[in-house]
Amino acid sequence: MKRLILFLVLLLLIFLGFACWLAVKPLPAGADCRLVAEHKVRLWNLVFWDKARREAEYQKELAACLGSPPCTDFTAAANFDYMRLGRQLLSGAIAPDEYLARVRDISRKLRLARTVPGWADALAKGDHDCDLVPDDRDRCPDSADLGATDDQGCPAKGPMPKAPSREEIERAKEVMHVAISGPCKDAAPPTYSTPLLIGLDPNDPDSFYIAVSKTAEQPPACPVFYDIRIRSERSSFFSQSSSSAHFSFVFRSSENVDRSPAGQFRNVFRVRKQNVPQWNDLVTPAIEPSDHEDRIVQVRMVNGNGLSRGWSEPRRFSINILTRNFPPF
Amino acid sequence: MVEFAYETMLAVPGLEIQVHPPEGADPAEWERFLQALAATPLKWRDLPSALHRLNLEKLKSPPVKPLADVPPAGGGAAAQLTCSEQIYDQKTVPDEWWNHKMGEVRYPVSTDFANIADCGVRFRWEPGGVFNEINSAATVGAKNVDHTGMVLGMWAASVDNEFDDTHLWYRLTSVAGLGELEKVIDDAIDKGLGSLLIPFVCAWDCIFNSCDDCDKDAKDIADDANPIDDVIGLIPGVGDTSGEDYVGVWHFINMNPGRSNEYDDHEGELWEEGGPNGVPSAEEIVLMAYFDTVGFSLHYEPSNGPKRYQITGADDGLPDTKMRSEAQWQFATLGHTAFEPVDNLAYYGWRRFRDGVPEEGIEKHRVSFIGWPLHAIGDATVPMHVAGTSSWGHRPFEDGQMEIWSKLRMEREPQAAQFELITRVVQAAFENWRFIEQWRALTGRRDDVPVRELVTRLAQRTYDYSMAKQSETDQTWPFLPAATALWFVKATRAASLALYTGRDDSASIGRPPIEDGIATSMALLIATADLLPPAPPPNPR
Repeated sequence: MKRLILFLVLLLLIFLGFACWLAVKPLPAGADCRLVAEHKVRLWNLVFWDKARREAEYQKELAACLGSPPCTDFTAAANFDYMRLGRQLLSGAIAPDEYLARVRDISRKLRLARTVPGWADALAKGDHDCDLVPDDRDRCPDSADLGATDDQGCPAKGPMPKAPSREEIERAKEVMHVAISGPCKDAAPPTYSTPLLIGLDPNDPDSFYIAVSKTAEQPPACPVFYDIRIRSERSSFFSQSSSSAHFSFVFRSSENVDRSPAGQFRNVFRVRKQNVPQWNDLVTPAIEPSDHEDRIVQVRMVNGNGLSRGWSEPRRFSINILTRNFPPF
Repeated sequence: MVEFAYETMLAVPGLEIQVHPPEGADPAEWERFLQALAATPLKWRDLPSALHRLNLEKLKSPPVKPLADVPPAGGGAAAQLTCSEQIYDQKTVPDEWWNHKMGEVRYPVSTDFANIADCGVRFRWEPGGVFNEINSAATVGAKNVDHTGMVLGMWAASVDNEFDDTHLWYRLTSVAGLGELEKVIDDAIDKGLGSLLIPFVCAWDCIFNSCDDCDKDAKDIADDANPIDDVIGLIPGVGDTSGEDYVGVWHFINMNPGRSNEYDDHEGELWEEGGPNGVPSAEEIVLMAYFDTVGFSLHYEPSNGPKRYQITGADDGLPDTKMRSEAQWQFATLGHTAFEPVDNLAYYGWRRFRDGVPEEGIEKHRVSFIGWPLHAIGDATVPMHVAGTSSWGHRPFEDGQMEIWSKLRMEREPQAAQFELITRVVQAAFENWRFIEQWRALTGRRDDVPVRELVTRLAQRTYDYSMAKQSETDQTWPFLPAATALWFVKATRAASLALYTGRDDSASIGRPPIEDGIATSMALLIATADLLPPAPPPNPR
């Protein structure tokens, strides 16, 4: 038993040693600042820095790629704060006027750092509470995280700026499809969808159906979009001609028209002639045996957070007078 | 607007319109102005159109045959292009019909000449209203129509085609801090960062463009805009995005009080300070937060904008731009980047027009460059451009103005009403011209025009007018956040437009800034004509 434990400890030590070696191995000469930054990230991971600290330091390193300290330090710190505030606004954690006040507070301090002699240098020497006011002039050294302050680092007074309401922000997010919304929170990217079938509606020659596989893995009320692209390839032996055309469609899962039991496993979407200028290129079947009318279809699912696993493998459908129609459902 | 200014200069002497001087005007000065006005078209007509510098390969799509599709017949007859429609009772036009002095361009040039298919003409064009009486094919014959105003207007519009002014990219934000860059990119591809761009593209497109692509039956926008396809090793940033949606960030001038104006005497677009009275719209705030989250920022190296519109060595009495380094330009995200104002864009084009750029082989007075100040004047008549906002009804307002253009310029009104409009425009042009003359006298720069001040003064008037109307109309014109919100959804887009075009007073309330813009354009053309060589005696028509 002791031997086994010793062996496991030895294995662990070897693993840690290897990890340390990877982290601290010298960078190639002339490595760019990006590599340097990533190298440091590996070191920070080893010493178990928390996520926020790693992110902030990484921003500094990236900023250093573009300039020289101390400006990079406060620019990086500001960008980090902008990003956090952006997330807070989009998730509804802060009110729009508060967001605007804080964002403007950061921008104002950036201007101070750029224009007031000594500000940037002083900032580089220390900003204990990360309010972008240097410690040597910070009269309130324990400001709240992301809180707006005056030039002395004390809580900002005065009215909030005029801003749209929370409801207006929510509406804007909705119409702009900026969906960092509750129902999709923490949802994984949807699995792959695959093209199943395509064809004309036998009862309505102005409708074309596309069937794709569906998934139910997304949280309830998290919208799922099906992004479908079709390439039409046509060739004629007798006329010795060939041509191609491209089509793209986006559907919401709620637009599934298949109400049959098969609809549990697939979505059938309807494309109407009036919305497709090159309708004939999409639906015309091959007549002569020597002609080819192929439709190459790919699909990807995108959830309401904009996440996707990417496009499916392309699937080729040959369209002729026998296969042109979609089976009844 | 430019075309109207030019046609007005033809009409005042041509139709013998009796324009009275504005109250208090010095009669001698007024007379001098009228003489300058009458002499101006001749000088512009004598300048080459500069159209031959366009990429002719773009004139390509069917049913137009390739250039020179009709071979010259037996020694010297001009090759022909076939148009998709008739122009002046013909379906063919001579190859390179555009490559002449402006006064000899025999067809109305399309405002989209640089981009469109077909033979480059604007079909069914006529100057409209009373201008038809002096400059239409029906009255003077097709060969005698003066298309100079069309060419100038085309060049003014073409500034919107300067796609390389703006390139954007994604500066990695927090995700990069969680691991190595390559892993991030791999993740991005696996998890569809391209898809994540869809909402962004939609949002941006809807603000600046038709946003048809964002509807469910639209094209594959992700593929069009997905920078992951172009992942390159430039760090810290991924991808490169440019195009018509992004050109306009240099076309604003924020006249709101209380803005920071850190780099110029007037700042351009800066989202966090934009909007009437400095209040950004909900859409702008959402986009700003989104940009900050994904790190969307200007990509300095391929972007012409910072190099063109930061002003150094200014000789117009206004200050230079406080220059920003590459790092400063691209490390702030878009919402916190103060873009250069549109008067700087005007000045960029003006200096190239005035002086030429010998080292680039650009001669003095190349007419394409007068398009920059003319474009800036047009932008300075739009309330949203002078309030520094991409939203607040920006897009539907501009589309609405286009839709009611014939009403705005009173094309179908009685002659007397049109003459009144022309009178107002000429009087306002006189005031602008007088300002230029005073500036010249003060500075001794006879061969110059203070284009930055012209644009800024116009922008201020537009801003003051807009804010006054906003209050008088109970916040229903011109700044209307609901119009932008409705614009995003195809089904309600018509309703969005109707908020502007459906008003009983849509033309009367929208006209004053337009008149002001026409007048300012006219003053610029008249004053600039002083720089041009003497014109040859006019051809009797």
